[in-house]
Amino acid sequence: MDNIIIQQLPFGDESLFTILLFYIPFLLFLLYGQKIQFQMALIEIGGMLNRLERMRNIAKFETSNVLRKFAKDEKIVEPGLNSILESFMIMPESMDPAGIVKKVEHIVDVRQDKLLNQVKRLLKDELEMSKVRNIEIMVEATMALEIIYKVIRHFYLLAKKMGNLMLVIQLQMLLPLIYNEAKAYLSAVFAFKSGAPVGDGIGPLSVHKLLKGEESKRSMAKDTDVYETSLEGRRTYIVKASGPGGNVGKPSDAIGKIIEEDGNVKAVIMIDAALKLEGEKSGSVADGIGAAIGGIGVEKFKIEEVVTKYNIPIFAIVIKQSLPEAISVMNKNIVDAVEEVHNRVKKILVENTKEGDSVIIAGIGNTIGIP
Amino acid sequence: MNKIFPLQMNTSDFLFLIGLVLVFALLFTMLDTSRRRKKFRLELPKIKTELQCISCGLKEIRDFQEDDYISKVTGEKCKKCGEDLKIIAIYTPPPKESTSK
Repeated sequence: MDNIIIQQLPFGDESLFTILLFYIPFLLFLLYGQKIQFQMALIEIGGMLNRLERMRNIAKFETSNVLRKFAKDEKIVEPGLNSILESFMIMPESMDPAGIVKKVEHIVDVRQDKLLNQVKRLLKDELEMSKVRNIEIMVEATMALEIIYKVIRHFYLLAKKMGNLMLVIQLQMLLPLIYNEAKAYLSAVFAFKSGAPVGDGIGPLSVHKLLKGEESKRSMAKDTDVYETSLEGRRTYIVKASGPGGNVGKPSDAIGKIIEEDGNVKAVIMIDAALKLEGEKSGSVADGIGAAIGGIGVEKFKIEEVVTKYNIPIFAIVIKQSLPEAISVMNKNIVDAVEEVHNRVKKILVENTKEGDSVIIAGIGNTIGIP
Repeated sequence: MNKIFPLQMNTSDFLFLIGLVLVFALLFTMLDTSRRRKKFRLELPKIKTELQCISCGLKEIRDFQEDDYISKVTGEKCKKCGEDLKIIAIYTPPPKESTSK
């Protein structure tokens, strides 16, 4: 009976199962291939989104625990932290770019002060400032994870709602990179919780190791210390953010003030961590020309302005590392770069300045764990 | 014998094939899920603190303790001369990727 039915179908002498096996999937992929690809990509992004959510929750849990440990009142921690995580900053309008740097600096300063005050309000008054700074940076890393999670969730839901394959494909391509960044922020939460130096602190660590220990400290700009010492017969100003709490300071203001006050500065050397390319060795050192400083660009602009005004050569020494290394506890490869940095500093001094000249050496980066 | 589709199957072969594909799909999904879960496992590196005697220069390495920072004189004493120890470095072991190239 079965054979009679099969023979009556318009597929020659093929068996029905052979037809099912070869033609149906072919037609299915031809007509619904894109939809299948869309669903598969959505499943993958959904999985990644779950992991991002988990990371966000872990960061929030850790930050909340630390806040509770040092809180004035445990009841205000949760609403306080949620309010901070929901806060935002609106960048100034750049249609007329004249004077934009000052506006950006102002907005960023206000945001920084507000965040610090919000964190301080949650904590006991007697808590030392370095601890408050570390907790503030923990909160910032948690904020970064919160934003990453929310943005990815937004595009995921939007793509799902619109059935937009192109959006899903872009998300699918970018997610591994975003996921790595999120992992780096999560490890930063734990690094700042511990209070140990992070990879980004190699600049301050290098300049700190140039000090003999007897130099007096001057605070020449907000959260920034200046030490005066002698190196290779040159009067050397060491600039770094105040530690050992997590802090980046305002090195541009300190450098500007020293240049105007001294009047004989013949070179500025900036030491900072730099992002390495894949395949490059962590902790490898390179030197060049220019202002080695990251961030939003305000500090860089101000340093470039002042060295151009006084025609002072500016040198840069960078210590290469990946983003996760820069915001995680400093690893041995990076610590070991200090000696090479010192050799490069001395070489630059000898080749470009004379004995008796004044020079500025600025260690740029986060000073957590480095006084 | 069919020249275009030499594979001739009966119902039991077909069901067996589907079953085999399903088992493989299930195994693959399970392996993939476990691999992904393993990938996310949060591993916190051990932080080490390197101390040096301010008098004889003897170095000592111990686990990181809260409130350790560079140049801190911790109050610990040198095993050789009994002088104070000072923290000279705090670090984690280098990641595996960075040493490979």
